[in-house]
Amino acid sequence: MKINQNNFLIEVKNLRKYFPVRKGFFAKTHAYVKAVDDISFSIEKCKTLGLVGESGCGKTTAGRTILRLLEPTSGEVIFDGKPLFNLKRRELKSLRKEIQIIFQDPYSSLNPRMPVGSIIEEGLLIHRIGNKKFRRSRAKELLDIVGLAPDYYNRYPHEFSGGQRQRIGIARALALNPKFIVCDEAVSALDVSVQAQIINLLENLQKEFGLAYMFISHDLGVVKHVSDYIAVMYLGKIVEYASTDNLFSNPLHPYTQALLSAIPVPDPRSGKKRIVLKGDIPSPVNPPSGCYFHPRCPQAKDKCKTKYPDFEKKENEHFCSCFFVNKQSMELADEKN
Amino acid sequence: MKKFFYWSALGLLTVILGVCVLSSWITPYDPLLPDLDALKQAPSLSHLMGTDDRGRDVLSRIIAGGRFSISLGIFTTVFALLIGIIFGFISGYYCGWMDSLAGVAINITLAFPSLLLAIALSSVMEPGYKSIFVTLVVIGWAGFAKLIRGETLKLKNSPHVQAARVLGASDLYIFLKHILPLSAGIIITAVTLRVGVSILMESSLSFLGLGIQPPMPTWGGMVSQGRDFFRSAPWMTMFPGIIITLTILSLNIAGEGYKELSAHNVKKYK
Ligand SMILES: Nc1ncnc2c1ncn2[C@@H]1O[C@H](COP(=O)(O)OP(=O)(O)O)[C@@H](O)[C@H]1O
Ligand SMILES: [Mg+2]
Repeated sequence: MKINQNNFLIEVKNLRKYFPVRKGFFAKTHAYVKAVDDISFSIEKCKTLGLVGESGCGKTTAGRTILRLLEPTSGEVIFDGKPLFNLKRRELKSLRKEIQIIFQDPYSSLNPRMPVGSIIEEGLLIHRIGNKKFRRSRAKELLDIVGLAPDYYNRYPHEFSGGQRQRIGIARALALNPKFIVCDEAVSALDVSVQAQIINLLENLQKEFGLAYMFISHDLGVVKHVSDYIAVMYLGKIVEYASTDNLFSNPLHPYTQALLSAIPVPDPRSGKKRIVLKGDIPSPVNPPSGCYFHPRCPQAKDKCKTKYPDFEKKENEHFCSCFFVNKQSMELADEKN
Repeated sequence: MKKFFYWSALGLLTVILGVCVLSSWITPYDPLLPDLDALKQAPSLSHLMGTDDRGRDVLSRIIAGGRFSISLGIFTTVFALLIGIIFGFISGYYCGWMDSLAGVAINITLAFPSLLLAIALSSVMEPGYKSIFVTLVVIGWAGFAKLIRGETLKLKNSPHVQAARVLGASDLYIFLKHILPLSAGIIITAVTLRVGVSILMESSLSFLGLGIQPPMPTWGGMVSQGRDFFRSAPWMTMFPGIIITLTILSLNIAGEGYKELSAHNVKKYK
C-alpha cells in the first residue's frame, strides 16, 4: 500500500510471520500459525500509528518481527531507507539504536537484579558510548525527563510502582536517542489514572524528541488518544487503515464498526447500538475460507465465503478490505447521479 | 527450627572446611607414618578417634583425607558447572539442531546410572587423582546443563531480555547480565548438593579401590580399609563414616535451606 511517496520513516511491505506447529519430537511441521499474514503499512516521522485488534490477532508478533526479535517469514521493512532484514550484524547493531520498544508488563520488563541506573544506561554500555561519568549523568538526565527523581539512580526496580517502572522502561528506550519506538500495550497493565499520565508523557516525548510510535493496543479507546493513523488487525491481516478522525467518524469495515460500538460512550442516550459479534475468534492455524471475518460478520454474503477481499483504497487515505464497502459507496454514488 | 538447622549445617561445614584447609598444621600425628607401638588402639585421650591397623591416628587421617575429598568435591563441581553452563546455555538459547544435540548428550548422561558410569570410567583409566577427577566431572555436568537450559528457556523470552536485545546486546552479554544473575540462587543450591554427591561418589569409588591409592588417606578409602577390622576396631570405619554422613547432610541442608531462604526473599520483593 502506498499512501504517500515520501517522508516515511519506516515502511513495512508484505510482512509475514508464520510459526510452525509441531506435534511431538520427530513430527514434521503440519501447519503454521499465520500470526502475521501479509501486512503493509508505513509510518511518517514524528507520527503515531495505532495498531489495534483483539488479543491474539498478531499485533505483538508484528511489532517483534519489525524489531527483529523474531525472524520474518517473508516481507520487507525499510527503515530510514535501509532494508532492515538484509543488514549485516554490525549494521544491525548500529541501527538498533534508532528503534526501541516499551513493553506491557512493567514488572518483567526490568531486570530485578539491576539498579535503575544500570537499566537505563544499558544501551550506552552496550554501544560503548561515553565513560562511566557520562553515562551516569545521562541516566540521571533521563530519569528527570521521564518525571522521576534523579536520586532513584541506585534503587532497585522492586521499590517502584507499576507506573514508575513503566517510566524507567521509557527512559531505557530513550537512552540511545531513537527515532522510532514500538509501544506494545505500553499502558494496558496500568490503572486508568496512571494510563493517562504515561500517555501524556509519551506524547510530550514525541514532540520534544521527534519520535515516531507504533502504538499497539487491544483498546481502541486508548489508541484513539495517541494515534495519527490507525490500522485495524484481524487474524494476522490489516482489515482497515485510516487517519484516526476518519476511522472514528466513518468506519468502513464491519469489524471496525463492531470494535467502535464496543467503546463505552459517555452519553448513553446517544442512541449508538452495540454490535455484538457472533462466535469466537477463529484459530490463526486454520483461518476461515474467503474473508477471515465472514463467520462473525453481520453483513456477510455468499461471496465472502469464497474469496478474500482485496485491501483497497476506498476513500482518500482510507483503506479497507471488504467487498461491500465498495458497493455501498458506489450505491451512494449511483443515488447521487 | 528450619533456620536453626540451616545455620548449624553452615556452621558445621565451616568447621569441617576450616579444619581441612589447615590440615597439615593441625593434624596431631603424621597421617602416613605407621606406629607399631600403637596398633588398633581404641579412642583415648592421646588418640581421640583411635588408631588403625598400622598404628596411624584416625583423626589425623580423617583430616588429611578430608582435605583431599572436599577439595576434589569442590573442584570437580566447579568444572562440571562450567561445562554445564556452556552446554545448557547453547542448548536453551539457540533452539534447533544444537539444542537437539546437546539435549541427547544431557539425557544420555542423566539416564545412565552414575555409579556404574563412574566405575566403568575409572576402571578404564589408571586409578588415581586424574581418573577420579574426570569421572566426577563426566557424571556431574549434565545435571547443571539441564538446569541452566531450563532457566535459559524460561528467561530468554522475558521482556527485560528482549529489551536488551533491542538495545543491541550480544548473546554472551545477555547470558552474563540477564540470565546468570537471575539463576544464581538455584545454581548455588545445585552446586552445594553436587559437592555432596561428588564427595559421596569419590568415597564410593575409593571404597571400591578405584579411587586414590593407599597410603594416601581418603574418607572412602578409610571406610574400605577398616572393613576388615570391623569387629576388632570398629572406630576405623565408624568415624570416617560419620564424618562423610555429617558433611553430606550439612551440604544438603545448607543447599535446600538456601533455596527456601532465597525463595522467601523473592516473595518479599513482590
Ligand atoms: N512463539 C510463538 N510460537 C507459536 N505461536 C505463537 C508464538 N507467538 C505468538 N504465537 C501465536 O501467534 C498469534 C498472535 O499472537 P500475538 O502476536 O501475541 O497477538 P497479540 O499481540 O495481538 O495478542 C497467536 O495465535 C499466538 O498464539
Ligand atoms: Mg500482544
